[in-house]
Amino acid sequence: MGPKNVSADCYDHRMKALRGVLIKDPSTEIEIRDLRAEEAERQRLEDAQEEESKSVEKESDTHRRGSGFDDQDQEPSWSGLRRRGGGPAGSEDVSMSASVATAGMATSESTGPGIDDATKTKKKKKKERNPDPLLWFGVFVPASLRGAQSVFQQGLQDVVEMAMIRQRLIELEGRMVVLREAKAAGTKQLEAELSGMKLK
Amino acid sequence: MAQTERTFMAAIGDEDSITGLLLAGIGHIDSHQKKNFLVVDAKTPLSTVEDAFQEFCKRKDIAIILINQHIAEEIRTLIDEHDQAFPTILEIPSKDHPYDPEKDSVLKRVRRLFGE
Repeated sequence: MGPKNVSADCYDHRMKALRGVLIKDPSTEIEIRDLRAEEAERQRLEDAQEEESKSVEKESDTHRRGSGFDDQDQEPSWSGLRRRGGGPAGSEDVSMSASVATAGMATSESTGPGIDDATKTKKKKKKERNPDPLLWFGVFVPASLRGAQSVFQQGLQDVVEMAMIRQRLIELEGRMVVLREAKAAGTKQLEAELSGMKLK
Repeated sequence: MAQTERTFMAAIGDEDSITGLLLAGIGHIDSHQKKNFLVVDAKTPLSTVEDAFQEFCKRKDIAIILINQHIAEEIRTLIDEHDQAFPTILEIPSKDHPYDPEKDSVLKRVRRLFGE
């Protein structure tokens, strides 16, 4: 079941890396990053900030409405009652039970000013796609494939260690070249001094 | 200098190696539809491999390039010419071609240094 190998049919433009690396100073320290967890954390913080700003807005709206009852010119809010035509309660008031009984004749005018703002602005939670690449191979994958995935994930740690060792090798190679040149220059100078002493 | 923008690992390899690495979660497609991996088989032209390698080397968001050693042998000249610290090039074995330290570019350079 499912494809045997990864092909262009398995992934699309939405594929994002789940794991990356972080290169610290002095560039010989590298560690694995969980990019998916970082993205989720960032999204969570953004959502929390959005909620906070919305609650601040609601509070300021409530304060404004509260002062509106004292003002004769402003209409009082008629929250909690459903009516037809959007008129004030008592004139064309339709109770909740009556509206249920006449459901077949329900009009599209149910979104009068009585409907709570929270219902209107109810967030539809997006169903998040599971980014696990194992799912490209179907829902029921063999245990050997799961094992292979975990082995490759552990292998990424070895990759990072090898990258650090390689960087260290290159750094030491550069130092060796410099030291050898310094040694060669020092040796020449010493030979010149010794030959000068012999002549004397 | 910290290379904090270099986040991703690129890969050039055979189908099995790339499958395993994508399962591990390194596969990425950016906003320009550019992938950070290349599947190489018998029909893949050498120019495609060379172009992919050079493109990965130029990208600022790639920290490590993993390449099967038998594929690295085909573009050995390009790999030997690469002298930047990042992206780091790591030669890895494949299912049919075990790792040979004699062929690794970095180890060859170090041996040459000690052999001088």
